[in-house]
Amino acid sequence: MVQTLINAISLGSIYALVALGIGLLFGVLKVINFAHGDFITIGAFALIIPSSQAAAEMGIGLMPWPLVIAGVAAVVVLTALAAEFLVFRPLRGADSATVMIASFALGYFLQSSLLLVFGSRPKSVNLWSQLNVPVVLGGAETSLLQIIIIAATALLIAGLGFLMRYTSVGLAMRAAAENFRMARLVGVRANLVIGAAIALSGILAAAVSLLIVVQTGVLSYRMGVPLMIFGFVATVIGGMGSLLGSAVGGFAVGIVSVLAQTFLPESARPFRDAVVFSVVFLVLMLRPKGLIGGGQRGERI
Amino acid sequence: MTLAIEHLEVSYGRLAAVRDATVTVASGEIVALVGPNGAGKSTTLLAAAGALQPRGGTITLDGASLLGLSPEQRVRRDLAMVPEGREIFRTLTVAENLTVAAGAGRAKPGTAEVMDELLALFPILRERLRQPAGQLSGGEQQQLAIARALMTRPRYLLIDEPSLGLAPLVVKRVYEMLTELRRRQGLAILVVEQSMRRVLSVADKVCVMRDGRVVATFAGEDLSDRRRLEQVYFGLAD
Ligand SMILES: Nc1ncnc2c1ncn2[C@@H]1O[C@H](COP(=O)(O)OP(=O)(O)O)[C@@H](O)[C@H]1O
Ligand SMILES: [Mg+2]
Repeated sequence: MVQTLINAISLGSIYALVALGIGLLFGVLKVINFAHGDFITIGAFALIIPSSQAAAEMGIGLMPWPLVIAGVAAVVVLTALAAEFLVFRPLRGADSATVMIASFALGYFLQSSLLLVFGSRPKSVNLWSQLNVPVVLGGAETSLLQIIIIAATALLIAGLGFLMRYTSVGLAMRAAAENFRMARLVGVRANLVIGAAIALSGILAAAVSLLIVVQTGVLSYRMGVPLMIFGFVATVIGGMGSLLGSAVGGFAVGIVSVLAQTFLPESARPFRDAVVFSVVFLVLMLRPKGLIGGGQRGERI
Repeated sequence: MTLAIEHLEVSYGRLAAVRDATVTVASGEIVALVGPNGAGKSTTLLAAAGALQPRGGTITLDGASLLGLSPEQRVRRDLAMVPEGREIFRTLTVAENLTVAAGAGRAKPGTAEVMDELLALFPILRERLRQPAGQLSGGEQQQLAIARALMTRPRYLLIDEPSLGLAPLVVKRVYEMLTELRRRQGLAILVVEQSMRRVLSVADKVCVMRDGRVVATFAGEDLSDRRRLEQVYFGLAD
């Protein structure tokens, strides 16, 4: 039981991090960045030396762990900032649908680039595999990695909360998320706020890259796609535009998913995702604005 | 030292909301822009503040064009705006509403002093500093919106229908503050109202707008000819 709970929370943690990354940018741009999952993929591939060989050769991944984290974060943040400069900024003032389609295109572009450089076959990599050791906690057996995933997520959420609450860029982001035009009219720099939001979403994506690679040990050029879907769903059921909602939505999706996996009869397991999406549907029927929805005005620049 | 909006034209898609608006505000002046609902007053202010791109005309501050500058850049040129409906940040506290405007402005020294000064001017805000701004009453929100604009230390203040939805006594108080600000800091104010009555006692100059055009400007002596002002306002005379 405790084991199931830990599984649920650790899967929920991953989804919460993805949802927060999506939610941060949605807050200021009012656009879902569909390339967010591919930012995660980029972070994962950043670990190895570019090559289309079937066997992956570690590059950044061989460095001491703080440098691995910094290196992967740097690659993803730079990718995110490049996306801002080359895709989002030129489309400032375009309507949401246009920008969203552009982010789709960006996602495909990133996937194709990875395909070109690394080939289509999944590669197995071995990063920090010593974390996969079993540990006993409260009488239940789990792995050190699960605990680390949960702890890292808690740390990142706390850090993000602190930044939003107590720093001037966080304050500017909150003001811009509520009313972008008004924020500009009191002098908040639009580009600065959007740049900060996308860079932060890059950091969250990089964290997911690392956690996922350690957990699965596999790289594939579409690995970010399912994460993006679940993260997006989490953002929606949490309540678009609320960061707390994104986090709550992520945990909710993770927990429902693990419960379905655990308690569905064997024959129904393949329908786990269908169950998850049914629950999502139900939530949206009952609370169209999401679990933590409300007050936000959907205004754009 | 003048904010000059000349022959302004602004459209929303096909709709020409402002066709020919000329309004100038010299430093230390209070200028009123009045006209019926839909005349194009708010559109004119938003274009001046940089939130809308004009299709024609010029906007200059102290002789330098503001066209092409973003709203946040115009704030750094000492232009501030209090929009229609106040648009305070409801989810932020009163203190955060003020701080966000200070932090965003050019790094002027003495932000703490400005905040203190403003809180002395709007004592009700001091009592509510830690409350979410959405909980304030309409009059308090209007004061917060004005204080927030003043946190950027503007020389020119654009304010759109400050009396909207407020009780007459509160409106009176808001206008007393505006004149006080002009007297104390030489602040130039461009105030938009629908009704002529409210602004006549405070304005140095009144511009009447109708159907996207500023059709007449009254100053000095002319301001005391109420009958004529009313005729122009209602389109009975030019
Ligand atoms: N966001 C908008 N989109 C389309 N039309 C608008 C918008 N805002 C105002 N308008 C139209 O532009 C005209 C001028 O509006 P506005 O500047 O708000 O007038 P006023 O402030 O004098 O009441 C009106 O016909 C109004 O319906
Ligand atoms: Mg108006």
